[in-house]
Amino acid sequence: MVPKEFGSRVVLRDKRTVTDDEAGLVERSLGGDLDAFETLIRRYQRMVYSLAYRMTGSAADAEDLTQETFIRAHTQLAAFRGNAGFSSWLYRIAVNQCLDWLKRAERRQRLDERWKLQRRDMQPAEDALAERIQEALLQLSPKQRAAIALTVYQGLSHAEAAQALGCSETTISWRLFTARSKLKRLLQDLGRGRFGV
Amino acid sequence: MNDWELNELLTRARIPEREAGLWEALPKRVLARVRGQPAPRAFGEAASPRFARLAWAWGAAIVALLAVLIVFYPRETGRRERLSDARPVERCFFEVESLFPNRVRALVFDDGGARLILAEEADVPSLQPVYLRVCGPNGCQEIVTFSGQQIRLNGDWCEVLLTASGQVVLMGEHLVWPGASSAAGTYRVVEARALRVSS
Repeated sequence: MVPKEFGSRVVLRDKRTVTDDEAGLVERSLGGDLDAFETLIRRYQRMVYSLAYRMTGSAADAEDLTQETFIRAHTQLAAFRGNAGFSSWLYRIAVNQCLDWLKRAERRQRLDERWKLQRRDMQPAEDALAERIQEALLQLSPKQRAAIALTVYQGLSHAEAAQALGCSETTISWRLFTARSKLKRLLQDLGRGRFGV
Repeated sequence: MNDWELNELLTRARIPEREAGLWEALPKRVLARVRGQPAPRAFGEAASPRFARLAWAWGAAIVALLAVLIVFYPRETGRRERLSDARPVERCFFEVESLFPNRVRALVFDDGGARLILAEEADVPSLQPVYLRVCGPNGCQEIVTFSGQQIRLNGDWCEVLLTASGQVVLMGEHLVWPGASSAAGTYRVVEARALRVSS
């Protein structure tokens, strides 16, 4: 069992294998049972939203990407073979959605604007740390950010993150190494400073 | 700040709370969009003819490309001999380094061929290059990297360092070379030496 972060809560995530219940829900969804698919959405929507938020830094865009991820998952459900966990399969779709989204230049620009707008709505003292950290995350390349989001925030192992990102474990390790080096540089004052880590 | 402290810091950044209504509304919005689409194909159901044609076209193109590569790929019978003498490896490394200044982390030669590991940005310091030959159950690897870089040996990260006297030192979680723990692993460092900078 690995702790998984969402918002202010920490929940425990089951091993990433397909349970009978999940396999049944997928099978029923394939048969056109939308109630079964709704159960899957309810089960994983927070997880997908959390990943999308870490990737974009924008709550509104994370919401859109969560919705698009589930729509894509529905159309590609037949491709889910059940040899990996449903959540791992969903992570892969979500990460690809986020990376595609980030590739578009005009959206990158919008991301900066939205982030600035969103920052104004945040409680200054309460969210100063979150703001600094999210800003630092946004300075990573999208693939480095995805590696951090999956391993640090979603609690995936390097192997699981590699599966979700469609690359080797070595690549994940390099991305994490470079991402961590950059984050340490960007956040070094927080390490010893007022947040007292 | 170490990795653990960084993780601790990162996980303290909370995601802004969303209205509870979102988690009720989102599944409904998805289902409303999905309702207009055809049901997903069941396992084993035939793909559309268009998809099948596309798959065949890609398959044929890949086979043709492989055939061309097999026919025209230069024979490398002498590669092993050349690799046993580090000079060509050395030349290759310096040539690659001049093509990608301050981006080459390592150049790895093994049975699978040569692999170039590049940094995403030109931030690799031009320190003393180091030549390593490491053998394990799956064969031998020859690595040229810079002092101060991290390389992966048998799944373990280890840092390549060079002492003032020119002695190469490998420091990893499960490997310290030269040292007693290097013998405990399933691989062994056959050769490790600093390369001459001029080439």
